[in-house]
Amino acid sequence: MILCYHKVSPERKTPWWVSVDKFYSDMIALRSRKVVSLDDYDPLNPDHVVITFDGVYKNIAQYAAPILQEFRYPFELFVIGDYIGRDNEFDVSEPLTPFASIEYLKRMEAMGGKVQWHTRTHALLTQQDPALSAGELEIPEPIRRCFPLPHFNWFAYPHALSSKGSRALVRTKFKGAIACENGDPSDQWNLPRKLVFEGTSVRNKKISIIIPNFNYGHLVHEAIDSALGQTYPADEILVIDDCSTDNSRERISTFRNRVRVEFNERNLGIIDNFNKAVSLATGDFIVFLGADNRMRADYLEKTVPILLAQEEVGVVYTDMMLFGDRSHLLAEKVGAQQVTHENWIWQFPEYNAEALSKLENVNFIHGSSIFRRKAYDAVGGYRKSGRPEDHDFFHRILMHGWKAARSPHALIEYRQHSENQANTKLSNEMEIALLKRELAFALEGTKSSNIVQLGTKIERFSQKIPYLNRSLNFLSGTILKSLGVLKTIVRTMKLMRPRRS
Amino acid sequence: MSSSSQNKIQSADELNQHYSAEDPWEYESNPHDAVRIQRFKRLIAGRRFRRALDIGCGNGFLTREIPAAEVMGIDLSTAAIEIARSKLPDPRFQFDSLSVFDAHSRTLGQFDLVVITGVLYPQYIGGAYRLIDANLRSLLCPGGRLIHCHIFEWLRYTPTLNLLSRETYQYRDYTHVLEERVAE
Repeated sequence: MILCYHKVSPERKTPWWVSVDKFYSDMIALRSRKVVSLDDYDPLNPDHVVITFDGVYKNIAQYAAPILQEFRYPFELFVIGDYIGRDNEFDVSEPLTPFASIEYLKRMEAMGGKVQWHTRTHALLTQQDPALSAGELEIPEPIRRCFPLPHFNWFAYPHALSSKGSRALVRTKFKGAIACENGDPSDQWNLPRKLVFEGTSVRNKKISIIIPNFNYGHLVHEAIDSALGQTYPADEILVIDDCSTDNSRERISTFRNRVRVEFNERNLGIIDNFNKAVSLATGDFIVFLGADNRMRADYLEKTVPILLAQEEVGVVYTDMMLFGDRSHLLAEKVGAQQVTHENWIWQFPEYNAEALSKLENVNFIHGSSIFRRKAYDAVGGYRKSGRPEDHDFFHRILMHGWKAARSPHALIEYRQHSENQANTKLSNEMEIALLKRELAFALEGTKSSNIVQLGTKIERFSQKIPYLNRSLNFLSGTILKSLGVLKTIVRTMKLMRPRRS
Repeated sequence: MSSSSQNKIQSADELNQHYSAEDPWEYESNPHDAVRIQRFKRLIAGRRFRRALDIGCGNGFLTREIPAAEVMGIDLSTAAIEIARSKLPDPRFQFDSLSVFDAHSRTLGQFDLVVITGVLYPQYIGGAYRLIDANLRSLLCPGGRLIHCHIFEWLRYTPTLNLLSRETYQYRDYTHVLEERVAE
């Protein structure tokens, strides 16, 4: 898969602009694959990914390149030669935006970028005569000198369009060339690319957060809010209520627009409810969050890359923060570090042979550790045993041969409260605010979904361009043929015209 | 201030125009803001900080209440900073015009308290929360505290720091959330 970005920026002015947050999320998702340069790319290897930029805009140097450097991903910069350091005046449908100068391109080279060619003026090669096309493929000497080989091995067709003639020309000058969705993975001079918009997913693994609830109606909104606030969003948040007898049902329903909700008709108890929840969830990675607890906003951002990058890891556990009026009781027992009188950080041991040998008796993999569905399936899920269900479950996963990994951050906030602790007044105010916010989201959702829809429409349209082009060729062929027929008719008519005497 | 435009970031010019009035959001006269100040003062009562930063300090409305040996206030609007400087000439306070995008430990050093109010909205930071969050984390020394105060209905982002306390209260037509978080 070759990805194609145009502009990456805090602002999104048109669908061709991708937000910094979305770009960062994409880079996390690519942890499960191998990001390579075009020189090392095997189009038939489903794990290979290439990251390309067309333009290349200055905002790529400002926002995308530092992220790519952090991830140590190589990337390809397809420049339009005559516009380096200028702006996109030729692109009349887009707001004026500066392109990267030679200096910025040099900076990006140092961050892992390779400079490639995207013609001199972004002219459509299919409409050019061969001499003009050849000029478009010519890299001026001063630019070539700035970026000697292995730069400029690759070429990208403007508007992703090529003709037999232009492809033949490109063959003589470049190692390979890329189009967009219209390309062909078996043609080195017309490889396909995926255009990335704000709504385009590059993930190949899904994440589910499951919040099982039983009579925590006064607290569950905090858990849901923390799941919704993840910097690396889950694909699915499932709230499953095990037939609560308090007002949980209506309180959970507030979030219906943004989370999946399941209400059990009868109380199943922990084990059966957990197994039912997993059977309903669609994620490859699954985490249970207690309805009285919270996740830190970077829970998924910190844990998911470990599961993506290391297939032998079946479960990732974290440290936790204990909070609430009874937190000191557990904290003192386990030796947690005090932050305030109601907040304590509990750190767990690194995963190694010694820790594993003790796991039988001492659980350090808490119930809100994120696990791989494959590992769940391998051991047959949760089961009834003499021990707490999570301890038993994770122990069996490790005994089965899966590895565990620790993310050394207090990513779970674990409530230690007495029955009457919950500050109901505060809770109610929070809930009203949340309800208002959900309404605001529902309203805003109609707007932002329009943008996403527009992006999808453009994506679809761009896929049709080659067909459109083909149709135009066909049409012009037909017109030419018709002209020929007309000429014959005219000639015949001339012949048939009765001569005036 | 509006919560709508998700993609457009307000420019410094727009904010400067806004600050042609000394107290454009009527913080000094609105009873809801008096409550806000009270809540903030109660949260930090009896504490003493070494070096504090107020991001989006405006005309210094909250900055002046921060109990620290050294207090720095930053705001994108140069007009707001001029007003803050003239109102608080005390050398304990330093005001600079700086965007939250440029507020990083590389240029400002670290703080044991960072206060951020009314900044984490889409019209100021667009779709680049990650950059702001990384900046905030860089600015805090280990164990340093982040106190933020925002209109809950407009807030789209949660700082990636552990939550120590949270309170909500009515603010004008909205709900305010006042949180304290701790750096690792």
